[in-house]
Amino acid sequence: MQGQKIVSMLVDDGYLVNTVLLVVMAFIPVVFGMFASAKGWISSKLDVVWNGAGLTPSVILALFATAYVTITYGASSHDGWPAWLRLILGAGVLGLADGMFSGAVIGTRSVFAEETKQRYVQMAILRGEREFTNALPNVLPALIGQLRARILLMLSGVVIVEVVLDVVGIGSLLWSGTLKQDFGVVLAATFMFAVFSSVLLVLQALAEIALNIFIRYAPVEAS
Amino acid sequence: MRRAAWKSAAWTAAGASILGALVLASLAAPEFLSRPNLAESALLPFTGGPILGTDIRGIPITEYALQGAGVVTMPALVSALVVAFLAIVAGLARCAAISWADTAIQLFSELVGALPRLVVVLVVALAMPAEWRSLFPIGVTWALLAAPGAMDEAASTAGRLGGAKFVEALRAHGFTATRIYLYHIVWLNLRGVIVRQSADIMMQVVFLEIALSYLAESQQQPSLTHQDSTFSWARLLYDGYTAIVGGLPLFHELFVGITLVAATAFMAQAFRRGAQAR
Amino acid sequence: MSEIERNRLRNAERSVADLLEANRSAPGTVLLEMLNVSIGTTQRSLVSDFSIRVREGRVTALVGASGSGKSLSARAMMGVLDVDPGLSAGSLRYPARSSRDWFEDVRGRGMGAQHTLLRASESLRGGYVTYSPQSASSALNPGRTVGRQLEMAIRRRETPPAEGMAAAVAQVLDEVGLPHRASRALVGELSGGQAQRAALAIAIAPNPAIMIADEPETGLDPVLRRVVTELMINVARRHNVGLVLITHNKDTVDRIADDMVLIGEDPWARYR
Repeated sequence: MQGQKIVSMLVDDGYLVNTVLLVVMAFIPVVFGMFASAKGWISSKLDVVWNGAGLTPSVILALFATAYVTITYGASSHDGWPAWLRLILGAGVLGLADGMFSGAVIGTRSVFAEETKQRYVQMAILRGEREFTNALPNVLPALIGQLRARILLMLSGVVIVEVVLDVVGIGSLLWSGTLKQDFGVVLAATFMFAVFSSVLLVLQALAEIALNIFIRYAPVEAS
Repeated sequence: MRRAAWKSAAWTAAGASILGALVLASLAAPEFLSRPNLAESALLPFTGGPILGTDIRGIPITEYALQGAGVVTMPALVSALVVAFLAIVAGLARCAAISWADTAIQLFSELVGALPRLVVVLVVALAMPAEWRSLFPIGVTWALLAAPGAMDEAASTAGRLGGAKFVEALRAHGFTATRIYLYHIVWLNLRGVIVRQSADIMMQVVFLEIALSYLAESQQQPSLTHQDSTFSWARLLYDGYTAIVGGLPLFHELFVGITLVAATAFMAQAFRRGAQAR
Repeated sequence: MSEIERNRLRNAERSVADLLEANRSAPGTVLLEMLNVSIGTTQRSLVSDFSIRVREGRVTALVGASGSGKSLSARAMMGVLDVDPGLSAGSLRYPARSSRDWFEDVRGRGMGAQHTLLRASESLRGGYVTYSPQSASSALNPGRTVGRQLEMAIRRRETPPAEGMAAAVAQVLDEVGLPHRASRALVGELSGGQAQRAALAIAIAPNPAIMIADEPETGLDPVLRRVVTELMINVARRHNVGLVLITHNKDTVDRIADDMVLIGEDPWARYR
């Protein structure tokens, strides 16, 4: 509305980079949590902790994060905080709040638990093979689908986290555009989110092609 | 089995009590807040003033809590009903063996799942005229975006029963179609799924309202979810947080805000546990 | 006269007691010796004082009624115990490899010790001792081709195949009577009989010393039952494998067993 080019805001002013960084930094511990849960490294006794954090909405967690840093750094505005600190806190909030980490850990564990109960996995143990290596290829397509859904949910949280922690990003752009009724900005920000979503969809499809044998398999008449 | 039934009933009763309290609070919400009274500024709870104390302006915190309940309760209930309705439709469609229903649900799911929910909600908020600002359209939008998950779960549950074969078997026993669909399928088998999903949506709509209002408060902008004369629970969180950072004794205000959030989360969890299959 | 016919004639003159005694005292290299094993839960005993010896080149029938603990005993022979508290007595040795008693640290010590045994005995399973399951269609990995599963089994041989992997896979498929193109098939595309042959191929591919075949006739028609069991016995003889055949089919025992072990009561006693 003020005549500034949105493309230059996104690219030159770091809006796009910050949002991508936030999502990637939040995504990494979630993926690690899924892997650790699948291998049985995370005890189910800790589920209470993840669930507690997961039940907390991102706005509350972001509030705690800003309160902690404000008290530590003594700044009443965010100007005194290093950018890296805001990004790390934002990633932490995104990764824990709204059931992100807890859903990933508990969901992966239950998917693997169901799969390892299957007869073919029990028989694989009798062949000297491991449960994990037998079950993994068959559950990966489902897990990748779950991961995509989680990232989409994370993108929702990005709006809140960026505004509360004063991170310059596409989420905060969308928010300020909505408040100021700047249709051009809202359209541009929504378009960027749509691009993210499309990229995720393409990545999921490519991963399925690579991992799901039933997609690239040509039937064989064995008799 | 009896012990499990008692536990389930206890959890459901706990959830229903909090929901009942929310409904009563929303009905008792004042249309306008009391006038500021600096003589009673920042009173702590149980110190002779209002029961939950007052804020920096001397306005009872109870009034904020009641108004906030008024902002969220009905829209959250309506959103829960939307999800419940769609889940029932999906479950019944699976049992009625309507061949295009699965495809329609899949298509609906892919379309609404294409964008992050908050982005869609903000676009809806942008499209609303200022005088129509309310949580209702935002909550219903959120419910529609979340519905595919509930529909999928309900359809899977109906599928596990045996779908159309289950209906056929009951018809052979002489039950009417109405009884089969409403009692055997919805009440006996889909009830758990519907209660769980509806409770989750209620919680999410409440949290969504708090988040949107908090963001607006932090930027001194009008909220997208209620009129300027009304205040939501986000006000308690924002006032409490800024006061603590500024060194003012309003910890009780933040505490009340967080307690209301926790109560909402507990309500959803209580319904969830009450509806869990034995 | 085929070997199976010779077996049938010999067994026609032997009683059940003779077959049981043959397991205890027959000549030949003992490959597996599991003695006086008792396994149970807190509520009941599942296997009580069970013993078995498996000798090189011989077919041992493991006979018992349904639910008598045959499969549980078979898994115990491979170091797989998944019952709580599980093993209360007994020993397990592979005398041709070492004198180690594999159950020494497991007796009376519950699930934790059983998990340790599971990990410790992993190298034996699928290599020295293999297992051919019943209802093979649901027992093989549905997401891997038959060829891939055979390759994994062949890699567990003590010496890698000299002719290359593809040739080794083809050779194993020839042995069990499956066409070479079956290596590209998924398990779901095979018929019941083909899946059973594929399971047999996977069991025999590592050149094991001991093979345990768990009710290979289950789910097959009478003709296919004979085909599969005779195939099994021929393959086992060719590789000089000690074969444990779990069955409750008397005809199978008469046709192919060199000796027999009973678990629980004799299921055919009332019919003699």
